[in-house]
Amino acid sequence: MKDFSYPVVVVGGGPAGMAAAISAKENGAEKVLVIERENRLGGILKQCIHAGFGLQYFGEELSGPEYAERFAVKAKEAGIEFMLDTTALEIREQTLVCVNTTGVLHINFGALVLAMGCRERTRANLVIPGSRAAGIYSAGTAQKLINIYGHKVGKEVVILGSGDIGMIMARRLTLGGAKVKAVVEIMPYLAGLARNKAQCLDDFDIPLLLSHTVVDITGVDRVESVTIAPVDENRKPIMEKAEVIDCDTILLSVGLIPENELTRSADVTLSGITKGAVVNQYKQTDKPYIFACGNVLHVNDLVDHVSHESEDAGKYAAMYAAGKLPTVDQIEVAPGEGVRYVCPQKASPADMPIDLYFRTAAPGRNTTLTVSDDNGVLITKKLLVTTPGTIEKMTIPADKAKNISGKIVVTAVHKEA
Amino acid sequence: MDMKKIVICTVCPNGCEITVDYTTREDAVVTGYTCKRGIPYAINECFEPMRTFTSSVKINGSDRRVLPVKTSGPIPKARLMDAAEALKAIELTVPVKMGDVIVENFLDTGVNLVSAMSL
Repeated sequence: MKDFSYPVVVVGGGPAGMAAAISAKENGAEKVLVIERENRLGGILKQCIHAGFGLQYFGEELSGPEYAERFAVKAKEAGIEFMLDTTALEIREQTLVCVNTTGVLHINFGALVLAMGCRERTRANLVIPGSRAAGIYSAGTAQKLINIYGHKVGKEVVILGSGDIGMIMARRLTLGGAKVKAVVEIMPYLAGLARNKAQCLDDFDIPLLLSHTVVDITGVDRVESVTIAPVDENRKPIMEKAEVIDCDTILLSVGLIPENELTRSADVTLSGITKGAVVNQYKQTDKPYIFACGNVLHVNDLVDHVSHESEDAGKYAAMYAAGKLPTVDQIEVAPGEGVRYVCPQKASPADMPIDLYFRTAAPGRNTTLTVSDDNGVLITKKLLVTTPGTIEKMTIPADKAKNISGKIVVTAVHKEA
Repeated sequence: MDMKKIVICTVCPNGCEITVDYTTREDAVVTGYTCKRGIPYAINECFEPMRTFTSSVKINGSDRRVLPVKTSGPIPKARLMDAAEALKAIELTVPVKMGDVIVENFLDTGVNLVSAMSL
């Protein structure tokens, strides 16, 4: 068994992990180690070959692999150390237990940054009825098979769920010669970003069926058809209106869940809503030496947000490792009317801005977003359109952040539905 | 104005809904944008919509079987299927650097097909 020691260790070499590691180094951590289970840096961006990344962070439109490579180059230049093909198994106090082909490693750390990303929800999570035929993939699995391994996954496709990856795969499959017959969404609104509906579905005349769900799948060896039906306001299928669509492939794009198996081994408190750790504005969990960022903390819509958030996590992890992160009383940050969740869930008064990331509960127009504490309104923002598929960000400025008290509540009130 | 088109702007992730009332490119009236980058985008959408094309080509010598590629600038939306077809004939071998030009003046669009990854 080998023993190592680093002021800051990062689990995950995707966009979150790389940004956190670079930032930790820039903010004083002498040695930073990134643990990555795959053989290459970049995480899921390696398979996201479509464009649309970096519009905010770099001010230009990049593909996923390009976005990842820019960070990988920067991380290497910054002198970050990497252990690839290495899996983190368990957190034991301030030691991370890992394994790779050299054996079991014990890595001691001053601060640990969790950046493991997320997993896709599967058919098992949804309890979709019908046969267990071949040809049913999660959208991200299909994306990996096509974009990394060059396989074809099917010819006639129905996509269940209007998440971003599903819509992006609709376009990818169409350009690859497949026929995407429909994207079926149980909710009355789009799950993903409007830009993806425009570029991926509308551009290729792919029908989006809102308020519809799958009620049956047929096929013995391979999928032969899927039966879909509209749903009523209680999301119960209206079987009289069911319709059969012939297809050989079904993709599921039905949501992502932060991958927190490792986090649980450290007994970190998780949020029931985000499924990620409960953190304060420093991205610090209730185990003060553990920080979290990116999709393992809460599922983001844009990698640009992940990079910014993760830079914060890396910076504060470096400060914690150096004994420079202030520990003060924390107050609760909670979703109010019209808001599904807010991350961070806790905050401390501090003489620096506090970024709040949140999702609204339902789509609407002419929306007023408000952040208040017990003394009254802190900041407001008006938006023409808001949807749950888009993460909203508001920043409490430093002069107000130092006096926050009681409880912070974020609300979203729509003038029109 | 004879025509009306509602465009979801894709210049940035905000996804603004922009309305264009027009007869010709010159008389187009654009409303509903939140930043001025949306104006040329929305007008273009009515006349010649452009898209950055991304896909992959076969690559030898890597654990990755296909290399991500993209056009160095947007191409007409109407050419996307032609672009996808053209990639079938391309097969590369490592090493490749991000930004390497794979096909110059791809399909006479005036932009290049470039590698989107180093392998």
